[in-house]
Amino acid sequence: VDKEVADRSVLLKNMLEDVGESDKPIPLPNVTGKVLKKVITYCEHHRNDPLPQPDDDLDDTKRRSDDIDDWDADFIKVDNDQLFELILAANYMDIKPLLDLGCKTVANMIKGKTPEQIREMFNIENDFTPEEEEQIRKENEYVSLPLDDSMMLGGIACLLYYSLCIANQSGCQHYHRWASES
Amino acid sequence: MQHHKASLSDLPLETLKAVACLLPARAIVRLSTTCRALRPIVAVPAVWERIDFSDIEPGLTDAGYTGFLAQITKWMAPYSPKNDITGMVTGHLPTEIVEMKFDGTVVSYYTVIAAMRLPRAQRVSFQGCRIDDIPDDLEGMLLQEYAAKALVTAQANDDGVDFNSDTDERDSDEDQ
Repeated sequence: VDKEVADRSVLLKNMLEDVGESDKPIPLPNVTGKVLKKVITYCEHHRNDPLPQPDDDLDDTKRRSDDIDDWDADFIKVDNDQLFELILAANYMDIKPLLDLGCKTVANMIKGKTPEQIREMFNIENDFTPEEEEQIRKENEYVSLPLDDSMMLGGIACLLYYSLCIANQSGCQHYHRWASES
Repeated sequence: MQHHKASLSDLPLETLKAVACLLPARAIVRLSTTCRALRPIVAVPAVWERIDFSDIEPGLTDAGYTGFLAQITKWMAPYSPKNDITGMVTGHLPTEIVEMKFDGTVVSYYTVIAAMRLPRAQRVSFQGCRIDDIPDDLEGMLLQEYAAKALVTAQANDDGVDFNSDTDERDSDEDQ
């Protein structure tokens, strides 16, 4: 790989600087060959882009996720396993633009989805206890951010909550005082 | 990895944080309620530095706005004495917020004023946002708010002029 391409990765850039000009291969233990190939494709396409500056994060455009160009959008059209591996590789090899691209893609997939849809899409196991779910439901109801029906646990959980309330009466009073004041 | 298929929760928290920073408010909350590993993202102050309410439908009530900020504060510091439930009574609000977006949603003027009063707010955006309950002198009040925060520039004044009815397109994005 050309030095210009390898320089896209801060990890490789630093390693190359330490090693100096030599033909010795650099080990990348955490990246599989298939993913590395994809990463190199990305770096070769972007070989002439300006390298990211440390203060780029302050730029407002970095907070958007809808500014992916056509080539990148096509490049990142992979299954979730590969997407995550790319993100992990970009993270490990310190390739900021590729990491950003991965994050933007994940963010775009999450937008507008219910928690259940997000779990399904990203293979996430719901490991909350019923008590924790009730707590989460309570928090979200409280902040007026309706979630989905799967969070609505019905009467039994409600009774459980009120019994907890009685056990913790002082906290509960504050809660209601605040609610009535707002 | 315990699953044979890669899961979002296997990504490092740093990366999840970067993802969350790109999401609007409700999407962040929903993501955090999918599993235990993703729960901590709501406790990261950087995630709430810029809050985008554009995915709150049909609109954000005053109580919703206040309650949301109070909840954020609680998530960020659940055990701090300042942030317990009594702390919310005294109106303790997160001070880390630098930007708020109400684009395309519905809010009341009270929320608008409250957002502008956040101590570190540099940018409050209302593109395509409907502002309800506008008092007659809202324009004056908004300009006063700007003046108080020394954010008034030529553009803010220009924007102020066509601030007239229920439906407003207004972007007050004057960075300090």
